[in-house]
Amino acid sequence: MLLRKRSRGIATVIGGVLLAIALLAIIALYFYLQYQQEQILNTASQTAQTRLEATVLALSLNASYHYDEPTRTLYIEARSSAPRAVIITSLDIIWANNSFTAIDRTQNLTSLGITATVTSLGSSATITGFPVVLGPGETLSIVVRNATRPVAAALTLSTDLATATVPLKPR
Amino acid sequence: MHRLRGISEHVSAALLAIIVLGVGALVVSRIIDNTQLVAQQGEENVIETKLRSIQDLTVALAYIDANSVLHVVVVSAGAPVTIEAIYVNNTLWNKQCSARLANGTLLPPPPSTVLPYHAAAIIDCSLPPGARIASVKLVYEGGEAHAIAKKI
Repeated sequence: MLLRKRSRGIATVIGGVLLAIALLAIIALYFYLQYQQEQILNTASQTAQTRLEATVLALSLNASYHYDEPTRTLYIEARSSAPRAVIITSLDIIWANNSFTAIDRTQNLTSLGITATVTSLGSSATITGFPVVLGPGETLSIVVRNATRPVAAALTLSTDLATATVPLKPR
Repeated sequence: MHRLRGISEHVSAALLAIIVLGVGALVVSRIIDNTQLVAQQGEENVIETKLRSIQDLTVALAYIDANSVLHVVVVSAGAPVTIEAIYVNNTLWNKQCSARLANGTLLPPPPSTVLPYHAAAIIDCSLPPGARIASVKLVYEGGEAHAIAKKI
């Protein structure tokens, strides 16, 4: 009689321990899933913030172009008033003859007949290709020779993880 | 004449303990397995979200030329971007489009178009003759980029 009671007692203890393990696993999973959800939300909010920053920085780039008809030369100028450096990644132009040009880091500006310089507080440096890192107050000047009349042009900038387009205003 | 005798109490206690232990261990191992599986799937979701979040794409220019060819130039940010689909006027348009880098290197068509970091891709799509305006949607792993193109 005593032994039967003891055997039930042992089975109850074993069952209880196993139940506790199962419950602990489920509780741990609940907290872990909550932590993962938090990570996903944080990532999404950081992404939204980075993309918004890129758009705001695009507004701080004062960019324009001037086409000189007699010399068939296109002058592009972009001055950054952003409080930190921005990366100019490409120049894109639609020409009046229905064609377009896209220039990025895969091309050499010199071989395309394009001259580019970055001017900062009186000193200037020649640029041979994109990306161009533009610091606060620096100006990027691009000269495209033998160009037809452009109808629209844009520069794209990047803040490493986000990118935005800056349309150029005609002067 | 033999008398049938029940199993001893020791044996019955041991059998009960073994059965509880066996069944319990099976149930607990199933619960732990499922827990691990769900946790692993969650971890994969987190990694996928992080990988997608670093991809960004902007439409630098979009227009339709005189031959009814839609030209779209997209530029990537600091991470490679996988373009999965191109929609024109809400219709999947992958088969009518080709993609190349700005230097002319051909890229595989979507959904296998991988644009390197800080690079421009030129996407040319054939439109029906007479198309004047097109709504373009590019679906990439980090989201979507939209543009409206007009014939010039």
